[in-house]
Order: sequence, then structure tokens, then C-alpha cells
Amino acid sequence: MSKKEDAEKGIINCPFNPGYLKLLLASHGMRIEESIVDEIEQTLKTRRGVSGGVELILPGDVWVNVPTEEDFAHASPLTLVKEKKKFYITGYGNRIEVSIVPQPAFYEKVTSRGTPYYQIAVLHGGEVHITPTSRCSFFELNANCVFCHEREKFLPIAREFITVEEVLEIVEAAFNDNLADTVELNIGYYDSEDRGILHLEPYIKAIKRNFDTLVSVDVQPPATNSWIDRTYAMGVDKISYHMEIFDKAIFKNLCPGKEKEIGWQRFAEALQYAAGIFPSGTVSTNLIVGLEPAASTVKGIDYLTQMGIMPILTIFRPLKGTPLQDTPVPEVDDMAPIFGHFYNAVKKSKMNMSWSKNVSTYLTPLESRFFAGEDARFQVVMQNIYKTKVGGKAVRGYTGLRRRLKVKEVEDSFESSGL
Amino acid sequence: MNVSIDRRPLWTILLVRSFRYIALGVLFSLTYLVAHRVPPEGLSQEGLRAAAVFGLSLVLWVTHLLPLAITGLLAIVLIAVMEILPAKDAYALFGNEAIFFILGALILASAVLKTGLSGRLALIMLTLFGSSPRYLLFGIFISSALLSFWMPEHAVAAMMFPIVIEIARGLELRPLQSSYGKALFIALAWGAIIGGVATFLGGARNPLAIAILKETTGKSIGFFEWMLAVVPIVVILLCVAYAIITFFCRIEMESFDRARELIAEKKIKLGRATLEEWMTGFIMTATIILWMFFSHSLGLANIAILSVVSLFVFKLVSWKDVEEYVNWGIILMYGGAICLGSAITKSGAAFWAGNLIIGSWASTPSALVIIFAVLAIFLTEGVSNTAIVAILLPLGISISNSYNIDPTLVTYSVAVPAGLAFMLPMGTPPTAIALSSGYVKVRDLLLQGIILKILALVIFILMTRYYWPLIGIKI
Repeated sequence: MSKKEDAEKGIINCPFNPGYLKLLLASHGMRIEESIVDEIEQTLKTRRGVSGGVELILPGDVWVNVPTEEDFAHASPLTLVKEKKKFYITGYGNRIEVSIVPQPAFYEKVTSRGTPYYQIAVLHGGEVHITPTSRCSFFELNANCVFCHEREKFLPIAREFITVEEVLEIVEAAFNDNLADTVELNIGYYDSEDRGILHLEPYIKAIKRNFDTLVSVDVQPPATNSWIDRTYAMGVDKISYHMEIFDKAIFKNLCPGKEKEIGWQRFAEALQYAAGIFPSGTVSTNLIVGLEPAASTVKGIDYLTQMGIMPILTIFRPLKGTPLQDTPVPEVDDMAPIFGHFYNAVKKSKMNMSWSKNVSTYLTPLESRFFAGEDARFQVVMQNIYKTKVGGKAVRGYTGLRRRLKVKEVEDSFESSGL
Repeated sequence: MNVSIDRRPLWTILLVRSFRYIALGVLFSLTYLVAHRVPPEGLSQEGLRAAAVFGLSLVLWVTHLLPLAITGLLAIVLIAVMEILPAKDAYALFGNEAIFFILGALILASAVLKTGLSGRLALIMLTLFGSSPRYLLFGIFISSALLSFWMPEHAVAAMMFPIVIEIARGLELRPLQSSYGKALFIALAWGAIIGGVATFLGGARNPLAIAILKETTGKSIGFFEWMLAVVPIVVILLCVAYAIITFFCRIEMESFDRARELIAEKKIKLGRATLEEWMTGFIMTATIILWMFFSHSLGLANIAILSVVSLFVFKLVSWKDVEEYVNWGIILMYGGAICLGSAITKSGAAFWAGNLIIGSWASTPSALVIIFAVLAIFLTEGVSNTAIVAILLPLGISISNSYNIDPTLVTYSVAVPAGLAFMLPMGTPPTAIALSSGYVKVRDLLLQGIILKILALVIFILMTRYYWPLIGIKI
């Protein structure tokens, strides 16, 4: 039976399908063998929210964040065990060797103002994710997304923005340890026309000035498109406006704040506009798999990819303390065809698949090839090149040159002929 | 930060951005290759090199691949490096009297602007004419024209612009829709442009023309002589232009009280004339009288510089003000243009090229004058009017001898039409300023401008034939 047939029939063939294993681990979590609980918990104390699990690297350099604390994880058919200093995932009669991403050394440090680094920054593969403030106005408006944790409850940092200097200290530490080469800044909802991007501007400019890196931001869509132009001009290389749900009625129910303050339509418009500004494959939006019917997610994938927007298919994780904590996790067999369709849709749209690498919280388009029965050799080679130092430098050089060519500062004065 | 993103494909942007470098590379290579060829018959090796530098400067001035001033400097350097003129002589041409006259005139204009005298004069004119919409339109037109007799036309347009835009907004004239609004801004631009050719002060191209004439032939034209020859043309052109504006733009205004109020408010805000304004006005008047009647004996530049000194003696202007108002690029460009003009004339390149390019078309002296006037009046729409003088005049002066024409006549025939850019914003800033108001479309300027341009050419040719002989300028 061919790989394609395997994929279509949803056969679990873990040792040869790391994508499938990632999906399984991400949705059902895993149990931890009693003897290694203390050792593993060392890596958990700094993690939170949808990334509050154990970071594993599966065969094929596939990264996954595995929930372990939620109730559904305690009933998982998969278990993490250790034998002769090596870690394995066991289940379904298989045993697969994995590695555990150690807790980065810089997590232990504190900023010059005394804030522990891990409270501000989290490392995801090659990206350091920084949250300069815990504030999200949807909570103030009592209109937060129902699947979301209230940030302030688990983010002990102050509601006020941390300083630019603190952010620079963290980025420097992460880069010095060779743990990251990309920075992501994310903030919650801001009730202003720019939706908070102006607050991020000093951080973005300072990071760009001091480090040779790509910067991505995770914000809400601004009220007008001129802010998207400005976001690109200030140095942002990748942007996410998270729509979360494609079905409009479910979107309204699950994300009341996003619906009332921004509106589904504005998400679509802003994403479409941004796709015309940013490089191919760098404009993205979350679609949570498992919170709406599969057909709706598939429709969303087609709608977005046709507009040049990269969907990020995150697997619904019922977080403790949220109204959806008892909602069942989606089944892998239901999700597998969605990811196969996802890979084919991205391929058809000719978007660049190589921007996302070593991502643990969702399946990248390239990892979704495991569900489409394709090797995607060319894309894999390209991504491997991107991962090298020279490749990374070339990508950063390209994004910098592109910005230099595309951004025009508009003078208010009229031009005179000079003499 | 106000930004916009170029949404064209990256390769298109890259190609467009690289074009400048490619074009410059090709131009420099071509110049080198041409300069090192065996010269054609009738042209010396220096002449060929001078022609190559002239061709390069011409393309750079027309295309703006480099700023006009930098092209001027490059021309001097190339003339020295390629041994067309000894370096000492090339740089010495920068010390030309015309440069100092232009410098003096610009500093004087900066004092008039800085003390507020120019704004007051504009308001006085508008008060005189501001009793009805039609009179106000005429007031703006004639104020711009008369002020441009004595100040650079772009400075006049820039100074009048805020006043006129405030009147247009006060009268609630809708941009691009109000016919009267359109008329106000076209009147502002055309008034300044036509007035700018009347004296040496309206545009620095006029002194540049005189400098090239003097440098290449030793002849000169006095301030009064120029006015005597050109002011009648200006008066007729003003009448024709005003008739065109009122013919094409309907005056749809009914209530006019707000405009009167605005002018009155501005006058009150300005208060009584200050001592500085009176003194600047006195120095300016004295300077103009000296220029008109004593330019031959005292020298235009000497009078200008002495007037500037008196401004500083009475502390009517500070050096900081001068730095703010004076366009120093103009000085550099003119230095280069004068040097280039001299180089191509002395090397014989101008005579050779003039004969080759223009001589074959012109069978009579009258035809030659008409050809230069036509070239100047049409080319000035796409190229800075000063560049037109720098390009055409050396050629014209060089071949004038072959046609037994007084080179001063060629100087008028290039310099006056070169100042009449009525249609497009590239030739002169007043048109760009009128367009920036939002009340005027390029289409309006093109349609009305082409009619005025053709009539202006006819008037100019008729005046050369019937009026100039009466004052001693004969073909």
C-alpha cells in the first residue's frame, strides 16, 4: 500500500509518519512515566497556555508541544518513558525515540528591572516569543475568546509594557545561546485605531537596529489599512491576525469581543490587504481545528489560501480554567484529511511554505505533507537551506532589500523643480 | 511617519530603481567613448570632448538623473579633467559677475520675504482689487505678475499660495469642481510666470543668459534695455492670458463677503508696516533704480552686492535667514552652465553642433530666430527653464555670426520663450504650486496652456519683427 493510500485511509503508522504522531500527541497529550515526572517538570515550570506542555522533537526534526497536565492527557494512550538515558513515546504497540527540548538556560535569568526572562519570553523552536504586556482589553470588556486563558492570571508580568531595554536583553540572551534566530512580539486587543502596533513600534525598531533577525507580530487587525502599510514599514517581516474560526456564527459565539469590536469581515479584509503587502506566505491567521465542523475549516483553508493568506491550523486544546475545559479534544482521524487538504491548498496557491520551521504548537504546511502522501522533496530541501546560517542570512537579506524597495515615505510638501 | 507601499511586483520595482544606475553607467561610458573618437571634419579634438561633455550635461539636465546643481559641478570638473579648458580657467568662470548678481538678487528677495514686505504688497493689491469676484481674480493675477518683476517667480507663487488657498477655502469653493477656484490658481501661476520674464529678477535664467552672452561674445544687455524689449511683450501676454482664463473659467460666485473679510482679517493681523519693511522697501526701490539707469556704469552685480551689504548694515536680515531662503543649488548650476557655455564656444563645438543641428533647418536669419523661440518655448515644458537657456543659448550664439544676426537677439529669443512654461509642472515651480492646490487639473493647464503658448509664440514673433526694430534690435 502506498503512502498516499495510507494517508487517505488514516492508518496510524507512527514510526513512518511523524506528522501523524505530532497530531496525536498534540491533541491527546501524553502521560509521563512516574520515575521521570520530576525531571520532566523542570521543563514545564516556565511554560503556559497553549504551549504549556512538554516540548519534544520527533523523528524527521518535527517539533511538538505535548499537553500533560490537562485531564484528557491523563487518559492518553501515549506515554513518555526513559530507558538508558533515552526518551521514547510508547503506545499502540510502538516505541519511538524522541528527544526533549531542554529548558533554555536564559529562562533562569532576570532582566535589569528584576523580571524573570521566562515570564516575558517563551522559546518556540527557532523563535523567541515575547509578550511585552499581559493586557488584553477583551477581558476588560468581558468579551474574551472563550477558549483563551486570562493572560494576567498566568502571566505575572505587569500590565504596563516592559521596557525596550529588557526586550533587547532577552533577545540577546536567546541569540547568544544560538537558540533562536527570529523574534515574535504578541499583544492582546487594544481599543485604538492601530490596535496596539504603535506600542510595539519601539521594540520592533530597536530589535531590527540591534540584531540581524526576522520579526513577526501577532496583533489584532487595525481599523484602517494604512496601519498595515506602517506595520510593514516599521520592520515587521511576518504578521498574524488571528481569526480563529472561519464559520461566522461560531466565530460570533466563541469570540464575542473580536466580533463586536473588529468583526469577521474586517479580519478577512485586513488579511487580504496584508497579503498584498508582505512577502508570500508571511501573512497568517489561526484556524482552530476542532471548534467548528471539518467542512467549515476546509472552506476556510480554501478561502484563505486563494487570497495568499497562510492558515495556521492549531489543534484545539481545552485549557484548564477556561469555559471550554471539558470540551472533548478532536479525533485524529477526523483531523487527518483536513491537514492533507491544507497541504494541497497551500501547494496550489504557490505560497512559500518555508517560513515556519521547528514549530511545536501547530502543524506547518510542510509537516502536513505527511497527510497528503507527498515527499515534497523540493520544499524540504528549501527549508533545510533556510535553516542553515547562510540560508537564514539570505532570507533576512531578501526581506530587508524587499522592504527597502517597497516602502516609500510620503512627503507632505510638493515637489519643486529645484531651481 | 507617513508611508505607502509600492505594490508593483518586486522585479518591476528593481528594474525601475536600477534604471538610474544603468542609465548613468551607459551615459558615462558613451561620453568617454565619444570623447576619445577621431573628431569629424571641422571639429578639433577639444571641440569633440566639449561636445561630449555638453551632450552628457544636456541629458542629465533634461532627465534629472542627477540634481541640476550637481550636473553643473560635474561639467566644470569634466572640462578641467578632459583638458578642454585649463582647470584654472574652468574654475575661474565660477567667479562670473552674473553669479554674484544672482546671489545678490536672491539675498534681496530673501529680505523682502523675511520682513513680510512681499506679503504686505500682495495684500495691498488684493485690497485694491478685492471688491468683486472678477476684480479679485484680476488682483491675484496682476499682483503675481507685478511682484514677479522684482522677485523670483517661484518665490512669488509660494508666497501668494497660502493667501489664495485661504480665500478659496473661505469662499467654500470645492476643489476640482469650482470653476472660480480653478481660475484663481491658474491666475496665480500664469501671472507669476509671465511677470517673471519682464526683468532680470523674475527668474535667474535671464541673468544666466546675459552671462553666457557676455562670456562668449563680450556683449551685454542692461537692465533697462531688457525691460524696454520685453515689458511690452509681457503686457500683451498678460491681457491674452487673462482673457483665456476668464473665457474658460466661469465665475460662479454670488456671495463674496467672506473673501473681503478674509483679506481684511489678514490686513489687521499684519498691522502697520514696520520700520524694517519700510527700510527694505527703500533699499529695494533704490536698487531697482540703480539697475535700470546705472547698470552699465556701475555693474549689475556690484549694485546687487552693495544693496545686500546695506541690508546687513541695518540688520534687516540675518545670515540664518539668507541660508533659509536662498537656493544655493542655483548658484552651483549656473556656475557649471556658464563654464560649459564658454567651453563649447571656445573649442568650436557650439558652432559646429549649431550648424549641424539647427543650421540645416534655418535658411534665413528670421527662420533661425523662430526656430530657437519654438524650441525654447516647447522644450521648457519638460525641462527646467534654466537648463533650456544653458543648452540652447551657446549653440545659438555660436551660429549667429554665420547668419549675420546680433547675438543679443538670439539671447532674447531663447531666454524669453524659455520662461513661458504654462502647461506642465516640470518647467517652473508656479505651475506645480497651482496643481498642488487641488483646484486645478493637469488637463485644464494643458488645454488652456497650449492655446496661450501658441498665442505667446505668435506675439513674440510679431514683436521681434515689428516692435524690436523700433528700439534698435534688428534681425
